[in-house]
Amino acid sequence: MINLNTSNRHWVHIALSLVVLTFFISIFSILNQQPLPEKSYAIDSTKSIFSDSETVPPDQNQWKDTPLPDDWSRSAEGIYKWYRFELPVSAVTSPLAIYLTYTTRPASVFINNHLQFKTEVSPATTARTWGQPQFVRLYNIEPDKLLHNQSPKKLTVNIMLATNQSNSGMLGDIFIGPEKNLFEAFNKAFFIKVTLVKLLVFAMVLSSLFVVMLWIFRRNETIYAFYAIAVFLWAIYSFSHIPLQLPFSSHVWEWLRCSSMVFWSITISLFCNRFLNSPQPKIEKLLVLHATLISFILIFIDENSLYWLGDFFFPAYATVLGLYPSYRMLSATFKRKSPYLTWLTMCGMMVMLLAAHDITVMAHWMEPWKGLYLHYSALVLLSVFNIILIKRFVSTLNEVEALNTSLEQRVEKKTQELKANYEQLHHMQREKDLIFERERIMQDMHDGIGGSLVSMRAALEGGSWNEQDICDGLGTALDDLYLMIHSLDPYDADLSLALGSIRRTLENRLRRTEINLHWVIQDMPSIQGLSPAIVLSIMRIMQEAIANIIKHSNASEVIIRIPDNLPDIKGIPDPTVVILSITDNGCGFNPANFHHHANISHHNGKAHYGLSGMQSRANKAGIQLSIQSENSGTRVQLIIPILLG
Amino acid sequence: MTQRKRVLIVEDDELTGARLSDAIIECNYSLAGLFTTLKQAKAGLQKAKPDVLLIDLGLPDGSGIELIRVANNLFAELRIMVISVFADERHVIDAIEAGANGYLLKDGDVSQIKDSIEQLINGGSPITPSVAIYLLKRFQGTESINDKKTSSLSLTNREQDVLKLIARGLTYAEISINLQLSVNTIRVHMKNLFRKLAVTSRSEAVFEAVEKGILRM
Repeated sequence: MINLNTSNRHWVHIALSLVVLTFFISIFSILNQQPLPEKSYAIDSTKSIFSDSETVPPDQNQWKDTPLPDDWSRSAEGIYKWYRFELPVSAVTSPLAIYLTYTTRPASVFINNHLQFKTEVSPATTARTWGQPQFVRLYNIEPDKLLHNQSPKKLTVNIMLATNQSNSGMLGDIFIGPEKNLFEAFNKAFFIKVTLVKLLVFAMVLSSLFVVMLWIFRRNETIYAFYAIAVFLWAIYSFSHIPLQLPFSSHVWEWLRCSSMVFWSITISLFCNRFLNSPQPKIEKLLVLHATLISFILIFIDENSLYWLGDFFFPAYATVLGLYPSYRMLSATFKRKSPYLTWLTMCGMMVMLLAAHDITVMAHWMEPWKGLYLHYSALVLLSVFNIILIKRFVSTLNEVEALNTSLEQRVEKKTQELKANYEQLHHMQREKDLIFERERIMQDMHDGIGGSLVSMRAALEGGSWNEQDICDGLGTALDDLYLMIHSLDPYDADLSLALGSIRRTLENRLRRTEINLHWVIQDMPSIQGLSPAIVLSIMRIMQEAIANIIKHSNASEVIIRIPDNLPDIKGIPDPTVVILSITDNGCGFNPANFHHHANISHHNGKAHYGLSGMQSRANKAGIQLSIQSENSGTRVQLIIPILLG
Repeated sequence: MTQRKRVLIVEDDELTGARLSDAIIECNYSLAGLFTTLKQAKAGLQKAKPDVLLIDLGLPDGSGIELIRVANNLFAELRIMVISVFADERHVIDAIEAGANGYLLKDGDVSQIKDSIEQLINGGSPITPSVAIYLLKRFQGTESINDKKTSSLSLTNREQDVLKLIARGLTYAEISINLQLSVNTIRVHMKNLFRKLAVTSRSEAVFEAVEKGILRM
């Protein structure tokens, strides 16, 4: 396996592009050759004369011997140049045709002084028909008739060719032979020199429009705009190779042709600078300014001079200007070694080469009938650029796709991280909750059952307790244990459910002193923030209240009612609280006397917090405690907000 | 005169066992046996032919729930009550799903135990408020999971009311005043409620077995 490094690959691209371009040029030079068709022969010597008249000049005029092809660059002595040659009669076999391989203007053909073919193109047409082939059928000429009218031995052919604006003209080889064979050769040449050029111009205009659209949607990428302009200007230049009538004056056309050549080089420079991502604003401004100036000056030049400038000066001038982008592209190619840049540069070199070729052709330093090549290079340049454009588009799409994928991956990663963080946070919160609950339960056990058991053991060791005391003490300790357990039941913010389980504990105790408990418990609003700690506080306050009733009240009935939200003065109960009331029918007491006793005493193994203990528990839990006592009984109220915490 | 109901006790704590035996005899029921281990109970169950089974869950050689299941399958009319120190959610639900008809805590005094046994034999379902809370939670929990699967596990409004009032610590008598129902009707509601739980637990087991491919239908 061959492993190419970047540098080697670069040379491979250069070599490959050179091969492709050479192949391309070779094909066109082969196609441009016009071999003599079968059974035909070439006229290589004629007589010629300049004339301003459109009728065949008489024999006695000064006809000169002229070999073909004939190039009369800037040496015309009349509007038309006439050529004459004779055909032996034996050569005339029907159907016959004359094929003019190369003309600079549409030709008219006369056989034995009769007009055989006249092209309907006025001398003022802008078309240059540089090397256009022409085909003349001799169908309607009956050889017999021709023979009869004229000298029986030969046919005389006269060809009239108009001189162009720069006093120049050319006539290439003339082939005479069977119509079928000549027509094939003519068709081939016509396709290459006319049809193909038309197609190319069409493709260039289309490509230019397409890229302009692209630029409209991506205004920032001026490279597209410059490309479109360059291609369009090139199309204008190539347009002049097609014979056609224009709807405006040929003077304007000549101006356009010259200006387009200058601007073409400039826009190519701008395009290349953008392709290389290194614009040179100062130079670019200078170039545009000078091109504008030239175009402006050209407005004042007469048509014939413009014609000459367009043919001989501006192609060379544009080529010289083209050296700037050529240099930039070439140096970048060898620095950056990017395949696309290499191909584009190689194409540019080919354009420069062909431009140089065309200049020498138009300057008549080379045989002009070989034809012009530059416009054909558009075919290659367009192809290469379109490939680059597609590649760029595709790579943009790929990039977006890759970005999307990486974005998705990053989002996924972030999601995972967030999830992990959340889980960790959740875990930490749970740990915290657990620690809090553990501490709370430990504290509760210390305050409740733990304290009871310690004092019970002390009492037992002191030998002061009888069996009943022990039984009561154990009962109290167990009750406290049950309270703690029930405070952990899943009552879901419903206090009525949380309280259900302590009824029996309270009732059992009251029953021993023959006090009846009335348990009135009804639907009530949920209490938000009702935690086991708060439930335990409520239970303990209730337990303490019941203990007080048993010890001090001499009551016979106790009513625990929840909710006990009595209507206020307006008759509406407060909806923001739930009131739990413990009412007895005992002898009552003076609450003021009891509030001073904040002491905690242990009696019968039970921790007595007294009223102050109840109060502090209520405060801690965010509950309001209200005690009303009269001779006829006591009412303890726990006012619990439905939004706790 | 109907035959005296035979009560079987499975309890590893000797004192509690004795307390229960005394209560049964005082209530004029016949003591079918007193076993202290799961093994003993399993072996003697068939012979004892109990009408009522009082069982502690924490036996030295295994869980009483297993025995509830066995006994429930063996005697269709058997009334089973768990008597335990604590009532935690898992044990309560497992025991009732296995077929227990009542669940009592050991904190009650003798009269309460007597009342509960009486209630049990009369078709009632003595449970503590805590147990009622677990049951409420169990029904609410399953209702939200899958309607199809738990259609048999949804409570009627009345059943829900009864359960809620039990959780609030109300007695059957108080509930009957509160809801204006006879105590008998409340008993029927409780019976249905317990049956639903037991049936659901069985259908859930079948469902699970089919799901796991153990059972083919």
